[in-house]
Amino acid sequence: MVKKIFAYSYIYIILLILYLPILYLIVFSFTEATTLGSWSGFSLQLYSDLFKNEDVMIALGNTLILACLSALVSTVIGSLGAIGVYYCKRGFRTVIENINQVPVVNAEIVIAMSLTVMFVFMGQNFFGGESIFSFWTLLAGHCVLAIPFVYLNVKPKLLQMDPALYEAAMDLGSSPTKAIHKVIIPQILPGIFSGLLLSFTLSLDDFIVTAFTRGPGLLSGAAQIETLSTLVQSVIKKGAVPPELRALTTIIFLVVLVIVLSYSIYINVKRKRIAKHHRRSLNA
Amino acid sequence: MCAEKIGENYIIEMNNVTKIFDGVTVIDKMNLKIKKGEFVTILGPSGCGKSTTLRMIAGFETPDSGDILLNGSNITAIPPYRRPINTVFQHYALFPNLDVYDNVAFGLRNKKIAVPLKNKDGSPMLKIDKGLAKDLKNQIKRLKKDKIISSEEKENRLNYLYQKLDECLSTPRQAYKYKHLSEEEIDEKVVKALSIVDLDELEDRDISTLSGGQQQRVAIARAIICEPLILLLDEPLGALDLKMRKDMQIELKEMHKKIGITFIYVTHDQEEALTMSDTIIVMNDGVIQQIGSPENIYNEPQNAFVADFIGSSNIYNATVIGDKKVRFLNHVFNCVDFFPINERVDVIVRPEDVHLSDVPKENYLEGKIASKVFKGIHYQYSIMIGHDEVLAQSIKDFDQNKPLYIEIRPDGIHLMKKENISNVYTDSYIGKDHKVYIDECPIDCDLSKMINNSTVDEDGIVTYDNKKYDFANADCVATISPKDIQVSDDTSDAPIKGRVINSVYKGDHYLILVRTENDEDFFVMTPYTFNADDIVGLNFDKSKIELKLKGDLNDYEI
Repeated sequence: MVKKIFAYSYIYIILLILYLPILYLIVFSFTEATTLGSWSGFSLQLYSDLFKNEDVMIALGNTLILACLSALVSTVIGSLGAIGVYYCKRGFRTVIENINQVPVVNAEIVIAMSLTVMFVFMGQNFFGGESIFSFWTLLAGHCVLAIPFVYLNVKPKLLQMDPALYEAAMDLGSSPTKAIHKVIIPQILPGIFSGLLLSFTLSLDDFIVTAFTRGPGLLSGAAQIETLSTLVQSVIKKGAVPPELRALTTIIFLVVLVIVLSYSIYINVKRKRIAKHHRRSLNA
Repeated sequence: MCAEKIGENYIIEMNNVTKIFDGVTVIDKMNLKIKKGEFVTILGPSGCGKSTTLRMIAGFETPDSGDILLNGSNITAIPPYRRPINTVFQHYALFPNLDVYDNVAFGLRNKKIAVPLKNKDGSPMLKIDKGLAKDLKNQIKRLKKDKIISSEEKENRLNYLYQKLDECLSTPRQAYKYKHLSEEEIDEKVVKALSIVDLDELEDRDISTLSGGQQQRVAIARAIICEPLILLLDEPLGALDLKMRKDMQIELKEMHKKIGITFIYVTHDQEEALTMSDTIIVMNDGVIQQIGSPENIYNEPQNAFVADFIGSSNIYNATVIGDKKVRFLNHVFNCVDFFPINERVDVIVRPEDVHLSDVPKENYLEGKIASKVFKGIHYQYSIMIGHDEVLAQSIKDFDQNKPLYIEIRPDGIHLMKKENISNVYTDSYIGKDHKVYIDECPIDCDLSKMINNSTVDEDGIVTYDNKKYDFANADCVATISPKDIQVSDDTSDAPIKGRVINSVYKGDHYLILVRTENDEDFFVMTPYTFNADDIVGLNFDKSKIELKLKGDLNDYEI
């Protein structure tokens, strides 16, 4: 009994420590006070200010476009790569897997620096000395960051799958492309989806790679692309954190929370349905 | 596909098919013909190449050399999805994302029906057959990579293929348009296939909710629905419990009769093979040991491996000592097989052919019961006749402490030609240190064996007829009898280590085949039992290794 109480209180204390700051953030996004930590009564002023602040809106747009595109590209490349590697010979597979581990454990600053050096080199040698820093270099940077994580999310699903499925599809008349499309992809879809979510969030809050690989473009036009993280960084360099950002971060947190919750509810419901079906068939 | 009709009733022919994985020959120059409509079983221990054979017929593996013909047309270079062959996989490989109905319909939804194209005036439309040209090109590509056939044969066959390709590219043939089946047609066939396997009411069920036996049936329905010419089954009953397996065996056999297509069934279970097959192909180590009907394989095994693998049996070394007279168990028996006098043979006696009596009779040998096991319908006895062990069966309960008398009648004795079981290493050599290298392992041998009546000094210099010979770097052939090699579990100080491939019991000893990492085979006689895949060490009786020089003796004179 005592043991149980301790075990539960341990979990709740940890959860509290984890979520307390976010709770503060949410509470203080509903007040007008500019100084942090003071409460001047409930108000939705920050939220209305947020949508009027053009800089923030541009940065938000940039961030979302970038996050969507880079998540899409890295999910496609990472998933196809994982499928390809899975059906490779063992020696080659081990090599690829080890190579894939390096960017995961590597310091992000190293990735960012090396990308910058490469883009400068490419600009000088292949693009007539012009700078190639733009939205495309930024997208490439974010993909480089996310692809290893997509691979790591898809791989366990492939390992769970019966390796003979691909051959079974071919045996029944599917061409290799059709077999992947009709049989393999549906099997690893949960892995692909979590890879997509992960690469989306990686891109959403990335600062280092963004700062090193961005150029002009997107909603920022001819100026350097600002994402939320670079915007916050440039603003706090000058002064205090603008109060609207409290509202913005609250919104981001709630959106992510909703996505994660609905995904896990969906998975749970599906599992229960299968279990129920199974029980019914056993009874029958 | 090329239409090289042979006009015979063989649906599958494999000609000199060789498959090599990472330098290991898994299938060695296999020749095989399978008749249309038969239930054929490929039987062998695990790792004998039976699954690889099946996968080559299905198209998942491409042979490194040789051809596979389907109804006389070469299909070696055709991918699996274009072969009219379907497979029931070992673990069924059902698609978990689809329900029973969609799993069964999967093949039909991929299937396309050829409709001949016509010109506006109603005459058949002719076009160059690009698909055929592509197949021929693939065949040419494959043939060019083949390193096993002679260059002359390669040249001839390449020329033939180029000729066919030219012919194909210059003569237009009837063109076809390909149409998917309609949903109504698919539905009709799915319902029929599900009723063949007795699953009518489960069509909308998820795969994960089915029992093993039901999944098995779905896998069969899915494979037969496309009306393949051949159904391949890769140990499909392995995951079922004994009772279910027995039922499925009978059902599969009935299904085979009902749908009338060729079944090729792979298993390591000899009983399954004997129950179901029209023809059994026994394989070991990438080589076909025997092809025949179940009766034929059981009663007339061609060698000790087949005899040992199919059913339990007594196998002895024996000598033919007269016209249809053979000596083993220290006794002369009459037999029905004819072999030349003085020939060493293997003798096989099935336990049910050993007649037992508890009182001495004429022609009966006396023995002692070493063990007695009750097997339900009968007792199984192990009887010692001198040093040899004889397995026998009887429904009678004999007293274990009294002598037992056995008789083996002529028709119960089957003689087999002895396999060449001496170990000959043609690529051994003598190193600078004057040691003999067998399988890259130095062995301190008596070099005077190189020349009769010669002597050898401490430095390894051989003297004969007042001439001295230095055999450093000489190539030689080393021969050693299986009884002069000792095998043990202790690999620490053994010069050669290897893996046990198989083991055959021969009355008072085992003959085991040990394969080293470098793919050299050693036959070894031992009184102890070893299991397949055990790692063992081999020690040689050095004085018993026979050596023969390759090349001219005079080259080594000093």
